Amino acid sequence: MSLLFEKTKHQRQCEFQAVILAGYGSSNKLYPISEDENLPKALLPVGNRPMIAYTLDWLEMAGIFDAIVVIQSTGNAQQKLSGYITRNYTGNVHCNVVGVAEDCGTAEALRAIKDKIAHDFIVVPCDLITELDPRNLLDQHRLRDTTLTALFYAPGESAKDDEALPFVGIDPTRQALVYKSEPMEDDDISIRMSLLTKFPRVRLHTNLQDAHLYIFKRWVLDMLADKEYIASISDDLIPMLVKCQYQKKMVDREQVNKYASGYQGLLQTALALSTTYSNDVDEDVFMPDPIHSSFKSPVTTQVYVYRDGFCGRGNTLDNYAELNRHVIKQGTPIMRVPPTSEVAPKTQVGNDSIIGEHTKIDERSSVKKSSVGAHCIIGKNVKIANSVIMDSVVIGDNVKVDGCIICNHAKVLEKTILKDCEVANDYVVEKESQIKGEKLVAFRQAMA
Amino acid sequence: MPPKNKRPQQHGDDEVEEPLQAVILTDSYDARFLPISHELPRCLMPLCNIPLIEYTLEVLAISDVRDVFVVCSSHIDKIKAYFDESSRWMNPKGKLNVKIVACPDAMSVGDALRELDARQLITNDFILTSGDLVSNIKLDKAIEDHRARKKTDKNAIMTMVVKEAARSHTSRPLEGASIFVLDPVAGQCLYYEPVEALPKKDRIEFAPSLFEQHQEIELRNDLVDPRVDICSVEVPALFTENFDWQRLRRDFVHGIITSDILGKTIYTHLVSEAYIAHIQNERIYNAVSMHVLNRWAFPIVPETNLSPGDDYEFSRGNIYKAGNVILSRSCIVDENVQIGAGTVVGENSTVRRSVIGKNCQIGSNVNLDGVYLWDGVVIGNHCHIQQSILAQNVSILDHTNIDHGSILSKGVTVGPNATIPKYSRLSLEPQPKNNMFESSDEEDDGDNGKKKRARKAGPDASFFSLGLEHEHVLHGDHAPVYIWTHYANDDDDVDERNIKLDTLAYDIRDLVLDEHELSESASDIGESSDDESDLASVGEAFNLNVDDSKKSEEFKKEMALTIERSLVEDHTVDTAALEITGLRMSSNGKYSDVREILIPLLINQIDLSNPVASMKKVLTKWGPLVDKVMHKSEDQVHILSLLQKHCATNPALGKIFLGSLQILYNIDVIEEDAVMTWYTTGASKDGNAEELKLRDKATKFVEWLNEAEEESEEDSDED
Repeated sequence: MSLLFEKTKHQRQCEFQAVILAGYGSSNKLYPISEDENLPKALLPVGNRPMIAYTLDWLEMAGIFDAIVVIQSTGNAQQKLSGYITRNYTGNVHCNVVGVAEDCGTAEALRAIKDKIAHDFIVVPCDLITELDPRNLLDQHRLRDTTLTALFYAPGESAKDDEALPFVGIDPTRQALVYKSEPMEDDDISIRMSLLTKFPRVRLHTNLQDAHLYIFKRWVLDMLADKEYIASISDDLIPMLVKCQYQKKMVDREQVNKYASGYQGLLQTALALSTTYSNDVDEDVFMPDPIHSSFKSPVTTQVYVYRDGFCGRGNTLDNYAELNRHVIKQGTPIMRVPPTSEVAPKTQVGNDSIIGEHTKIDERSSVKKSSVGAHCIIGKNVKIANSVIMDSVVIGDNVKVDGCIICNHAKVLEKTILKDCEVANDYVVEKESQIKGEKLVAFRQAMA
Repeated sequence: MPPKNKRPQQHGDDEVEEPLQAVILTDSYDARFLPISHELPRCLMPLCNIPLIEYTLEVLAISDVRDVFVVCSSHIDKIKAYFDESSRWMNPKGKLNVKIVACPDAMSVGDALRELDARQLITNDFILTSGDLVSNIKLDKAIEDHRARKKTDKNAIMTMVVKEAARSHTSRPLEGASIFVLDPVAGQCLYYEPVEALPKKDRIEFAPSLFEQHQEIELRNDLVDPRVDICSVEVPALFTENFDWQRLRRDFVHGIITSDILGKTIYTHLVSEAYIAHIQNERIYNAVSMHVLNRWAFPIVPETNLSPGDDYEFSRGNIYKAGNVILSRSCIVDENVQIGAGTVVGENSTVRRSVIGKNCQIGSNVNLDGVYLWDGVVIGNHCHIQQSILAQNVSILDHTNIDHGSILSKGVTVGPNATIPKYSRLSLEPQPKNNMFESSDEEDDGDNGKKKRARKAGPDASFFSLGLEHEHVLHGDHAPVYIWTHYANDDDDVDERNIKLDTLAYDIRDLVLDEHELSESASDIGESSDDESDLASVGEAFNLNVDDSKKSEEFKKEMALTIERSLVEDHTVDTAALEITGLRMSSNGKYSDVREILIPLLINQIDLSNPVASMKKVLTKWGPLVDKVMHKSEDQVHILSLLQKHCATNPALGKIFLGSLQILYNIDVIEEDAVMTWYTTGASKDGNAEELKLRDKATKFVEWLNEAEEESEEDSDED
């Protein structure tokens, strides 16, 4: 009995493998803070913890203990990340860091690691922070047992509008993802009739964002391995799977059945042989209809729409700042001022802010809605608001910082006023400067 | 269910809304149900033995409606007479106040509404529906929503009541779907597009500006649109303003929604539980009849006895029988059958899936399947009738077969021993000329443009224009019965096939699809916009492969009919050739098939009592036609082996083989080389004993040919 129990437990652990795309495909939306000299994206601090730690926590909550972290092999990003995983990471997820070429697409990355994946797998970006209970998502995936399950979320009010949201078509009866298209300014929206034949009811949303979190069946990887023209997950693979649901010709052309049939689950096989069970009987089984021919596609998809809580990605500077604000916002149970830090008595650290280890803040300063990293030295009468200050930053007296991101080892000298700036690592902001809305990068770095 | 006298109850301090008015359009302004609709308005056609309009009035009676305007454009007298004599709705104590409004000049819904506007009859919001609505819905909720909406949205002018159903629900028309784009919360209709089934439409497109006011929209291809609309007073006025709007959905709804100037809004009211359908075509008539018998529309079922004096009783297997029905001991009444009072069913007869009216006489050994017999139909013995509508007082004499999809109008008598092919439409009255696609081939030149359009519309259209120009009349021991040809809407380019799809019991395998219509395009991977159109396609094996044999079978049958008619009616060779070519091209048939049909028919024309003269006459006349279906010398060989094969079937025919051969040779249809090839190769040698005998007979002829050749060669040598 106990042996049996042990066995099932073991199997459950192997149900999904995770693939974390770390610092991947974000191009330079995070310039200059995720440059090589500073930190890889996965290690950028959010509330003084590396972003990837949140993802790993989430996976652990989901009961997934086997993760492959894919990161570009150029530069020292991979080294830094491995260092973090081996030395600083304290969770239970077993991570395998794999480096791939910098310019390779997300689907190509999957192809590169296909031998390491033996089960259905979940692709997670390293920059996703969500309050969604992963078990809800996984349960919904298990329930419908689809080829693809994607997570979409309704972005919060505070999210900037600079990112236009895609058109997302969902069949509300089956939660199937049936249409996805990037926003267009002028062109008409064009929907295939074959789509409306297969899915007669389609709800088109313009208020949902793709979380880039996908759960795939293992056979998708087999197909991916053979089709080298699929380069990106979100641009190529997802649209293809979506269209395979209703375009018979595409299924035939891409020979999707060949891949899908090999991985029929035991349960499905049993049900298929059952005489009483009928799984989603296609409508025109009894009456052939040449005009609206429908077919049973080997591909099924579904969408989990998360609206009840926070979900956000740190893929742009704004979103990154937003993640920080969310994590440190009032009421979150975190250690805001660690005992190792030295905060002068007349200095205020708001309960919507966080201070790192061994950081010193001199008197009459104030920190509001900001996170300050470890080993920083902050002078007198400094006002910090809505900002992210990373580790070992030095800020002189009478400095005002508002809405800025200041990277490791940067220095901001006295009487400077910075608003909405990003300061690269090791950069020194001269004293008494007044700068607004600029990216401050050393000349040498800018050239590189 | 008697009309209720209950007035709407007042709710607290709410102001009492005036009861709605209702407008019933009795005319469908289309050519469905011909030839029955030529003599009877659609709203008076019985469905499950009750005139359709009764169902419509029933729906209105249980809603908050008082004044009902019955708008008629055709058959006005009949509708007036119906209400005067037999309807219980004219009772002044009744809840409904029915008025007949005659608009004899209206040619469309738009005209009728303009007429209503001109007469200023509409003083309040009204329910606009057609006289063929079958439903068990209570419209109260929809009316309430409509009224509430008018308070919040001053521009709301109309609420369409639509039912959620599966895409392939049988009460949805096959000829075309309506795509509704709705706001999922408020139900506002943001875009409406009618999509015809054929030619196949690839995509629907709409402007992304819809999203400016609505973050989410819903596309619906699964709605049954029964044409029940709750309209504001200004709707008729809008029709007057836009004098070119004809149709309610295509012009009005589409026009209102897409217009930036009018600024009016249209909403939908979705129902999912209630049954609601409108009998817009023959196929749906069939479907809804079955729905009613299967109790989908409960309490609208026969044993509710909506019409006074009815006494239907329900028994197991969805069999509904009136009181004094006489069923013989040995007859079988299978499932889903309704039998009206006074009907007699004879010995050994079988009735399935059928509705039989009052006072019908059904003989013995009759087989009825999916048949709608209206009142007073008489069927003789040994008849087989499938999926057809037989209107009042039709009589079918003994040993008559009627194939599926036939419609027999009032009083028609057919038989005895007749066979009515599928999709026949028979009437006692000749078909009016303007309903013919083309009246005669003399007008060919003038009608070329029209014909071109017909071809474009589909091969079948040209088939009808070429093959069946001649008015058909069935004669017999009864009044002449006219066969109506396929009708066409002459107002615009409707694809004929769409109309056919929704005819009664249309077999989808009879549908002819173009190759590109069978295929579908697929996107390329990496196309995010999904905008490409890839029409380089592979035919999908629907009609092309699987049903090829069926199609060519069909073609052969038609060809045989055409040729036979030409022979019997003694057309000129040119006319016959034209007909053959037309039919062959429209069905994409092969010349070899044509020959296979032509030769036996031709030989059969020869009068065997006087073979020599007859043979000469027939073959001399029709030889040129044979010539026209041949192109190469192999074709001549083919003709010879066909001749051989056919003559071998009968010793009497065997005698004329050699003679026929000789005549064909003499009139230069068959050349010497072909005869030689035929004689020396397997074309003549592979056959049964009879066929070989004929070959032997031909030996003499061949020898003679050889000699003649030698002689001519010698002649030339001597020169």
